[in-house]
Amino acid sequence: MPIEIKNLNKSYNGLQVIKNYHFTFQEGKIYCLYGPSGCGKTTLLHIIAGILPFNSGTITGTEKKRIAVVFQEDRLLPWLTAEENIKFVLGNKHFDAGKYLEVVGLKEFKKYHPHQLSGGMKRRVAIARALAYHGQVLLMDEPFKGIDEEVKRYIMDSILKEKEQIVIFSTHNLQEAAYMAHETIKFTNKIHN
Amino acid sequence: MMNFTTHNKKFLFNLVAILFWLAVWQAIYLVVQNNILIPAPLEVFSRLRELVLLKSFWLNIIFTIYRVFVGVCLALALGTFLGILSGVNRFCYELLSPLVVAVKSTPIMSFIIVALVWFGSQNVPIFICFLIAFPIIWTNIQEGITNVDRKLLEMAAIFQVSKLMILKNIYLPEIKPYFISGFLTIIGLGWKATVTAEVLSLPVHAIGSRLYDARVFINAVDLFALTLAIIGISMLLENIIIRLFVNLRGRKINSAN
Repeated sequence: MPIEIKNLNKSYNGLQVIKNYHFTFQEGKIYCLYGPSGCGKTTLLHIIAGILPFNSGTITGTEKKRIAVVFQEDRLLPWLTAEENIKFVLGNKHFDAGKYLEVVGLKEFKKYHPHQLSGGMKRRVAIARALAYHGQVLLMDEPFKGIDEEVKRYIMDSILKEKEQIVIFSTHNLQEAAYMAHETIKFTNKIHN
Repeated sequence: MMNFTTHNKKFLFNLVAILFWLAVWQAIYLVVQNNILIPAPLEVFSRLRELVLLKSFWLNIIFTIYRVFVGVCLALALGTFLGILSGVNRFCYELLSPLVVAVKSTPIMSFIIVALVWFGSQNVPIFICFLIAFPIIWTNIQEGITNVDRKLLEMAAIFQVSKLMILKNIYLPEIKPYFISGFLTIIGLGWKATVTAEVLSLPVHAIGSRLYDARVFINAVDLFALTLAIIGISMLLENIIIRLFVNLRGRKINSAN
């Protein structure tokens, strides 16, 4: 079932960030939200994730779907190791998180706590967590920021192998958009349909 | 080598500080020349040495520790439970907040007098220890819950993590430092409050009752010796608990590695 957005409006303190937005995200496709900072990419991702209320409009197709998110901040539990952070969202302490940490090139760092990892490494753990969750929807907010090209390409290839997910990611980088996305949605300062 | 030197330096500084204040005490004694107002340090230490050899002294200490233990445990149990409730439920917070503020601002003497009417003299110190400790634990736990990182809770909600896992992996680690800090505070305060309550309620076996005896018989040497014992035991208890927490933390880190 696709995710369908109709007449979506969102404003913060009187500033309209999203105005009468329409879009349908199809299953098995990868979408890229491309545009400058402050144009509403994160707002749209958070609305789809269900963590941000909107002013008017409808969103259908997200109900009862497992949604995995890579946030702009890593949102890792600082007292858990990299592998424990992955196991935490799966609720299964016997899960082999190493497989997903290998995808992001961090297999040897599975026992490391977030404070022992660099910014880019934490980002990769957050991506591994989202990949391990196997959601029907994968939302990623600037997921490759601070990750070197080689690892980035490897992660992108892993995501491209997923054929049934709806993947929506935001970026400032046109190359990332061109490599991964089936469709790129260009945002300007305000989202207009 | 560096740690060894630092450790030695710290010990030396502590020793110098103690010797300095003992010298100040001795100087005041020499100036005042009145054993009732300020007894000689040597005399006090000699009396303390006699006291520690008495079985009754240890009986008093053990009973006082027992009262602190019960009071602190009650405060920990109820303070944690109600602190969590108040942290997650605004109504609970609004309901308990005035009570806690009232308990915090009421003079301890008022409670002791009221408690003497309500309970037997044996239980007054426990009740007072509880009353002093409960608001601290409640406030710390409630603050800990309020300060839980909302972004982590949001992340857990999106990934549909179970409530039990959220409690175990987000709430408990977040409130742990607040709990430990509250616990360490109430050990010292609870100890002082218990001894104060004992002085006024005079249970049979109590270090506070012996302080009262020393006051009645105008025995300043006993008063100072008992006070030194109280300070020493309070410091010892705090140290044991700090080491316990440090060991627990160390064991957890080791098991993680």
